[in-house]
Amino acid sequence: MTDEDLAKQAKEGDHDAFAELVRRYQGRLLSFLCYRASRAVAEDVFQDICVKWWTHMKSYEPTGRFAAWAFTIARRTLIDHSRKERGRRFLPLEGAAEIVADPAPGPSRAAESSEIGERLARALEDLSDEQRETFLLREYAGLSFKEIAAAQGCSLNTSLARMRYALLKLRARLEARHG
Amino acid sequence: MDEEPGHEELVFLYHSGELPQAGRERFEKHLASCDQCRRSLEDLSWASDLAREAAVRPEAGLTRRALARTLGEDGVRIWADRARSMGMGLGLAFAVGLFLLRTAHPPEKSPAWPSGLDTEFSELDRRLDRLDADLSLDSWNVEFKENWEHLGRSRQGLKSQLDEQEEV
Repeated sequence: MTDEDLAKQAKEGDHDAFAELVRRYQGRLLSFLCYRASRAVAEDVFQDICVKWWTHMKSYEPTGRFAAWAFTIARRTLIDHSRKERGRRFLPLEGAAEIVADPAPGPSRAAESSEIGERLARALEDLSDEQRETFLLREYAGLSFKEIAAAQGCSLNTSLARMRYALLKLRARLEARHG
Repeated sequence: MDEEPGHEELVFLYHSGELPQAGRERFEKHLASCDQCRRSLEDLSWASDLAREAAVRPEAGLTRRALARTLGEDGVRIWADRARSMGMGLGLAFAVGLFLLRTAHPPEKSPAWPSGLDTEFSELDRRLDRLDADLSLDSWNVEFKENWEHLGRSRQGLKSQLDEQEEV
């Protein structure tokens, strides 16, 4: 059964279909999140995204790919979360004590359990946010460049150029250290 | 950053399957004679391999918690059913593996069958049965993993003993 078939059933309120979608996307979603935020934040946002997928399921149009719909919501949720966190960090001093420090900030802590994950995380730090997101949307979300452009609100050429620069920088960084 | 798509961007579109059929055929002809585009295609494969190797694995309870938060008790139930059926599948696969191992090394054909192995096999079978019965939502992650690893080690030990006996 395709993702889109499952999404149609989930749209009708089928819990099992929705759970199967989450199971299929858990690894891709967590990888996408972990290379853009700390593991703790990524896991929090992961749960927020699942809730949003379910509550927004009615807005899914079966004519489109589920992955594109799902990761558009995922990136927006992560952006909202980052904005909220930034806002909290600029609270006046008397409110500063309420800010819970992230024990493992930055994407570089995302995949410390594997050497290759750590190397990729370090290399991704050299990329701009847009280039990093383009790379992750392509490689983990599996979106087409047209879908990435639509999600990011840019032109197709821009998303292609971002991928080109991302690969150039990643290759240069990883080959300089290990090539 | 907006630029006209160059060869490399066309390679990206080719790789992601976004070129129309006619453009795809035309590009494949071009690819045969263009070292630069072939290198770009290799770069993309390299990036995909890298991403695959560096994928982050979800911790076992994460999805369960997310489903519980999203679907409430039904999310818990669905995940428990899934875990139970997966556990039983793995248990069954292991039991079949044990059966095949015993078939390949039948005790009666081996006069030097070590004493006590039958008892150990029976104990393993009993533990597999118990494992299937004991699977529960809360204990699945830890207990199953520990039992599974223990059974794996036991199996390996028994196999080594059998191999040694065969050599003798």
